[in-house]
Amino acid sequence: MTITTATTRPDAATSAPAARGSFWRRFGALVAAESRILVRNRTALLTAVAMPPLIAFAFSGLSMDRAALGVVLTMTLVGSALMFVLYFTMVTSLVARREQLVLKRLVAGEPTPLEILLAPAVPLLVLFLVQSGLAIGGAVALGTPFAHPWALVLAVVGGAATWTALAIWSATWTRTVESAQLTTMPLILVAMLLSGFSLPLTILPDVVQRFAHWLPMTPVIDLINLAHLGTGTSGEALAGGALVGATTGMILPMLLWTALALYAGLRGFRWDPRG
Amino acid sequence: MTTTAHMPTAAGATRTDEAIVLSGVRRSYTTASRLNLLSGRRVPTASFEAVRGVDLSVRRGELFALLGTNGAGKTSTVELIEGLARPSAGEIRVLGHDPVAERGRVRFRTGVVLQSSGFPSALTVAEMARLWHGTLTRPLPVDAMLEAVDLAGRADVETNKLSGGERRRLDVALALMADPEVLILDEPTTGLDPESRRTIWGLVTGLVERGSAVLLTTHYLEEAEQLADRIAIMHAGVIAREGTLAEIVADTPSRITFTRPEHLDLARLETPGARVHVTDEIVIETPTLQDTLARVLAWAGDEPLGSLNARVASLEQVFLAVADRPLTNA
Repeated sequence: MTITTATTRPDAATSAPAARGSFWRRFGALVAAESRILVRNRTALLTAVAMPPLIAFAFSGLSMDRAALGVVLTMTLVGSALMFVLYFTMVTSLVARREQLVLKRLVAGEPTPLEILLAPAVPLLVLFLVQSGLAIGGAVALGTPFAHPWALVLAVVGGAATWTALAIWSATWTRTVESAQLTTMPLILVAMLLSGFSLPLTILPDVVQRFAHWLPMTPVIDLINLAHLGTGTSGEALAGGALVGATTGMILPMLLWTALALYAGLRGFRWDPRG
Repeated sequence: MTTTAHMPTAAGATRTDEAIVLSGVRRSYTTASRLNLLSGRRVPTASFEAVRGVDLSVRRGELFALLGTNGAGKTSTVELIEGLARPSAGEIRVLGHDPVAERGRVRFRTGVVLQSSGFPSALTVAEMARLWHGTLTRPLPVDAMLEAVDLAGRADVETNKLSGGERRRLDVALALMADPEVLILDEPTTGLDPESRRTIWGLVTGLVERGSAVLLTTHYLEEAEQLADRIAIMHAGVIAREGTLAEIVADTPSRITFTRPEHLDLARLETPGARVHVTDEIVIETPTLQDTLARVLAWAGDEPLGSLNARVASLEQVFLAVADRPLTNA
């Protein structure tokens, strides 16, 4: 049995192309496969699609006026989509692919490590964006004010980058799909308790509050607050130089977490389950 | 680190015939470590050296078979050539490049069949093949590749429902899809039925004929005997023997065996230079097969010799002799 195409290669050394193929073609193929796998994995898909709305629904049961309800809706939907759609599902995807030795196959091929690690994030990012869009649409419908809409963009983009990078990092010390429920728990708990997501940070001691603003979820919630109400981390109205300063203070922790998690994740990533 | 005798003086020359060159390559594994949570890295506290100074080269248009017992260090060596890990010492060049540091210049010219297939369970054969096709710089068509390994009829089957032989054939199809100048196969035929094995052999030898370099690890000695231009036998992390089949068996005596004849006097059999072992079976080990055989036949005359067998040393004899050698600490 022979392959009928390209039966002769005149001189391997000279016919070799000077450069490899395009990033977009490779990445596109990986993303298409990851999307297909996600759609066929009912459990993962259900978690990703249903979990954030459920959490948002649970939190919005608190009695409030309609406008305040819109803020809660954006916070809980965007926040829980980051944790459960993006972070948790991506950790399990990466670990499942590693357990099936898919990552080892890919890393032995042409795709680069970063391409392989980011491909599973793309379909999840789409889901995250859809849910964020629903949250914002809901807030508009509820008549919630939008003092600084651009801050929502920062929250969504910054949050996505931070929690994608954190997923890669968490996957470095998660051995099995089952253990992912445990290994992702610390970050999810901290994010839920110390971000203003479930309870206002202002009820906590001052020193804890200041520490909390450096955690990966808090800036997302802070930016959503800023977007709707135009207020800073201690509830003060912001304008001019103070607005720029406060915004920078919210972006900085996200940048640091993204850089740190991506660096540690790429350095420490194990491609082989036995490695 | 040792200097390479193989590399020509012109630096970075890809003109050389040698597609894969290893010089003084070593690989250590961490056997005990503690985890540094901040970096996500394990800090080694104890280690084991699986590859202990390997030199080898594979030329274009050549099939090189790397043999060895389990744990000899074959896969550890091959993974370094694939660029999956860095050697702890020594130098590796694939098509003139470092397979880790210059992976972007090497990967699109190489094909790899790992010991493990690594197919996502949710994808069908065709979907897996299309995914792989999409990652390659100069892929051959999906349909032609599936056809070549007799999987065209199984294109819509999920990969986790394939038999072992079918998975392996898909592995080989994907590796060949890159139309590689260097193909590395780690035990591609282990556990395969004869027909699957023949299919894979045919594809691999076809690639060699077109000028690619192929490095193959295998447990099957007859596979190496039939396919390989050159063979290396690895043992305890080093290469114990290397050369063509003829070179490897040259130092090992040939054998003549037959059942002990009742009506012949063994004392009258003269076989200079040979060693004769007598039990119910006569085993003669000789460096000069033809001469000794002529003497045996003359001695026997018209008397039939039961189960007469004469053959040059086999790879198996050499392999077993190497494998039985005690492990030495390098």
